[in-house]
Amino acid sequence: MMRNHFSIILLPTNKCNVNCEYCFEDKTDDRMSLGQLAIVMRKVFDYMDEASIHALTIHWQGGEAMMMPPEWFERAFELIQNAAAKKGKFVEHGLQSNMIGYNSRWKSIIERMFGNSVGTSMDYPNLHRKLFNGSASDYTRIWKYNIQSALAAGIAIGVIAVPNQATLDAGAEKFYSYFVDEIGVQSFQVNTPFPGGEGNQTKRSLGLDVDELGRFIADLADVWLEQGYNEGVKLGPIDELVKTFTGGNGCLPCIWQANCADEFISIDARGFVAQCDCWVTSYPEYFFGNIYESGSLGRMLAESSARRKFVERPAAIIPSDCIDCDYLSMCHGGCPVRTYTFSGTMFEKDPYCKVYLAMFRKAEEVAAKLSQSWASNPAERLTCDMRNRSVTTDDLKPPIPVLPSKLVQIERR
Amino acid sequence: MATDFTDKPEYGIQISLEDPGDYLNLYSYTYLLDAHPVRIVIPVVAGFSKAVKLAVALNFAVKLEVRQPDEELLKELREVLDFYLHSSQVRQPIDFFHTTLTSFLHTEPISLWEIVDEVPVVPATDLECYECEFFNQCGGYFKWPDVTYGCDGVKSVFRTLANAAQEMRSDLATFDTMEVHAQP
Repeated sequence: MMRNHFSIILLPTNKCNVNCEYCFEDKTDDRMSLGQLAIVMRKVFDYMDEASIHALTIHWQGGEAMMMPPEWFERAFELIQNAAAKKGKFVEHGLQSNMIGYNSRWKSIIERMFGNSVGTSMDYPNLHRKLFNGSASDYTRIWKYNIQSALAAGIAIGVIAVPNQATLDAGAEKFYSYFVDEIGVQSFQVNTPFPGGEGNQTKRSLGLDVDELGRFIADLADVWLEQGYNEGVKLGPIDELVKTFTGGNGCLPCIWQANCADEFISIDARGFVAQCDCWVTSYPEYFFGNIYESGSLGRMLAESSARRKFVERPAAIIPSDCIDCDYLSMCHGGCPVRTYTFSGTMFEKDPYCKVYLAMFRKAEEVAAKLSQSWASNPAERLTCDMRNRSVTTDDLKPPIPVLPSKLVQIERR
Repeated sequence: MATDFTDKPEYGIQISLEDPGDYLNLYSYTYLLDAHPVRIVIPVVAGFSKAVKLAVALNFAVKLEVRQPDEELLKELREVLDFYLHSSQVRQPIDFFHTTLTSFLHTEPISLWEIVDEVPVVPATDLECYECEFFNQCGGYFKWPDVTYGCDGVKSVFRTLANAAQEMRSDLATFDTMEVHAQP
């Protein structure tokens, strides 16, 4: 059973225009036709009907999403919104792109379909993101030019950064300054690296000392609190953790959901369905099925033995370790694909456990500082949070009662 | 689970976890939270604290079903009370702690009988209950079914809650004073 909101990570193409050394995807030249997209959406909406789900978020990725022309997205948007309207569904869209193929032709569809916002990726320093015929510095130069063009066009840019050893050596201050001061973005997040897909020398060297990485992120949180918090800069996932620790509803990343199998699936250009983009591009043995060939998405999800493994993961890892953790509610054992790519099994807790603990402790410390500050000056909370669009005046009202008067008893399974 | 209440958001849902050792089953009910308030009823038997911890981690409210806990169970109950009072992870009520704390905070008598939705068994007049400082919150609940049950352990639970309520009152009074000073 899924939730009343459903997400798809949709890969309209498995083809990419760059050659990053640590990419976890086994890329192909496949592209999804509009006819195939119509099949996907029909089956997804049918499934949502069966499960009484009203709202859908489509996270468009690749390969590289911008390998499809903007005109394809114009028609895809129309197709999806029309199908959603007929079914009485609400659909919103997000775009993740390397932005190497960005030009002004994208502005209109980014504004209409993606809320004038794009998520992209860059590391500091960039060692592993490369063009097919060019170096990492060539990649960085083009990326920076395109990002600043997009920012100048009024597009909001969020950046995912994957730290490497040189990042840790450079330190939090330089890292923060690169994204906020030099590039000019107001939103970026740190993701942990993992050696997904076919192995190579770079992937074998991706593992970082978890204590050092934890210290780096804690330092970064300090820099953000000092320089960025009051300016509305978002530093994921620390900002959302702080929001959670200060009593708000922080939006935590997929790696920390109670179980990602309850939240989303990924569908690639070949029609394969798997847990997320990492699994659907690299691990055929974990495919749930093929949506072009399957009669029913709901039946595929219910009957897939591969999906069953994801559903059962908490039972395998929570009792042995995580149940005693102070931060169980924030993490639930972490990310299956990070675990699998480092350990060869998903039935262990995430190998970045120590890094996450450092993040949680730091975010709790920052939240305590902010709470003290708000206690001495309540107006400060509203001012800061409205700037960060994280808490509204409604959040300061007393909580609603937990249980209404009508009560339904459910028998133990 | 056979019944679907997804189209009835006005319904709160209560799930009885008869054996707290089955706490991992709670993962399969998280979807209900999208549409309903959900409370997990957990019997206070050895090992129940793990079920409470996971229920709270999954954002469920909790109601403890407690009878006359022995020393071992009281130890676990006090640990859960400490978790309820002090852990930043607790974002939902754990009853009977929560309602009792509210009762102390607002000095409004709400007995355990009301919290557990049971018909009160009036304690015999010769019992210590009527002299007890926590009678307004307990109502003789812990003297049933065995009237000889020694209440020292459960009194310490009530005392901790009463002290916490007193601390909250002091904090709120301080906050009110600060708000007054913050006025232009």
